[in-house]
Amino acid sequence: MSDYALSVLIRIGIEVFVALSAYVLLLMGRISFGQQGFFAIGAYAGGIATALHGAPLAVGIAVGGAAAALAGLLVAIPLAPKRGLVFAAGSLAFGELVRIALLAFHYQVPVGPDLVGPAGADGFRGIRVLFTSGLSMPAYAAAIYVLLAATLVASAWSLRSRWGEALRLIGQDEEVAATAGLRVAAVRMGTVAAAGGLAGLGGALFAHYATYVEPGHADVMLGVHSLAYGLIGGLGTPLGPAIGVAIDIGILESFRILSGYRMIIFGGLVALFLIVRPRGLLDEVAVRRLARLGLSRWGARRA
Amino acid sequence: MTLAIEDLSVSFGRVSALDRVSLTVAPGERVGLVGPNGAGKTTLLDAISGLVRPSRGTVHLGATRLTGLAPAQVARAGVGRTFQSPRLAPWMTVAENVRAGRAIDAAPWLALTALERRRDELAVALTPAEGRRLELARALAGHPRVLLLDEPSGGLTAAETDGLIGLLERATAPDRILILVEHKLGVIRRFTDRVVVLHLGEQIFDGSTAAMGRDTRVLEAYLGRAPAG
Repeated sequence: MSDYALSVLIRIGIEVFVALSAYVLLLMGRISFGQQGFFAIGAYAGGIATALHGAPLAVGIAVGGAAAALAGLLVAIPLAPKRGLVFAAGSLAFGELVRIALLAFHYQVPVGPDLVGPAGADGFRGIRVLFTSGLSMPAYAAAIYVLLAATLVASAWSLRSRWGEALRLIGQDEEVAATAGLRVAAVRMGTVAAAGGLAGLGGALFAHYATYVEPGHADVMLGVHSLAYGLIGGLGTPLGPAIGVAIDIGILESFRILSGYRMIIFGGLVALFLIVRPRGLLDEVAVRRLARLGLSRWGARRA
Repeated sequence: MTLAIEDLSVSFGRVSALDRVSLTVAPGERVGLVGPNGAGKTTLLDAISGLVRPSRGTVHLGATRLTGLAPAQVARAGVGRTFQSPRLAPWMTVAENVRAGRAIDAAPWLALTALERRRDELAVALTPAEGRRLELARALAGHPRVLLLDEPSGGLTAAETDGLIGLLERATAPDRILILVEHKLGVIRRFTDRVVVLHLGEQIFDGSTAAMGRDTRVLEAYLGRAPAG
């Protein structure tokens, strides 16, 4: 596989984590424009753990996810009860707050002959544990996809669990969820934290792949795209946002002939889907149909 | 457990939707709540279930004060309800709608409401009558001590309404309180033993169904005048 193809695969894998985080919130009826903030927190926290404190790569990734989940818990206190425009605007404000805070964030310690750590607008260089550990890029890509597959399976399972039922019911009618006796506040907080953790995992994976992160990586367009991936790919399954990412990065961005028109085609796709298929390509109806088709084929083969 | 509503008022801005309503309902009692549009029937159910805050008065279920509790706490204290137009989660399956995120086995409630064959369908695919039954299954599955039904026969044909009444009869637990908002007086007559009439937020009658038809204030509220003679 060429280096370019590998880099596209890695970018798709990482972006799916952020898309999943926006997707989980969409299912809970919350439109977030701020998941890039959690992505950046995960990237910086993971980088600090490995580059400054010598943690192994796996620990760095876990720290990134945990730090972003903790940030999610804090953000959830004022924001999770809000819906609609207020949640959307609040999440956007959070994302921008993180980006601007990182511009002012200096935390450097001597590592060998160099000063390493976040240096405000100059970014955070030298997150090199992937290379010093001797892990090859294809092996790292494989590790990302193993983690991603596990995350997708866990997400699909959790969304079918009691907690998942509760969060989907909250997304579709919060008053009904309350009058059924659900602990709505706890589910909302847990979901915003989990979504933060997912984006943070993506951020930590990215920081160790790129070896360098900067406040610009918390750009609002990352959050906007992540939100759109679920809307295009579909809300019926966690594979929906993954398909959205594959369409955008795998096709629109990676083929040179299309790349100049990426934003036009992508924006058009979002608009088209919102009109024609508001719950995306793999919406709940399509997923049920596909599942039934698969089951009947399986049944026919056994018969 | 007795449901005690005392001096309950609800205002929306300067509009008084419910004016000092008092009502005590004994365990096992079925109360019909009637009145013209805008009488405050749904507001009363909303105030009991915690969806609107009363401006004065209290609601108690046994020793538990429901007033001031969040809707979820009221539900956990034993109050279940349905809504005037059925509120289902359209993109969840029928069985998921019954469970509603609770640790509940949906099967008996699906059987009771004749929805077993639809259990894995999305709620968006249901007919209005099935939607009404699903909402009822969700409310019953919480084993409520108090069940508030907001026009359960709304939009149903005569045959469907009969089916619904049969279902309510089968579903009623002996000491469950049932408050039924209904426009169809036939349903009220067949299913309840006591009627409360609201008019412009005021409670104008509380008594038997038979006595309601002779009450001057009720006739005035419905017909705009007292009958001659």
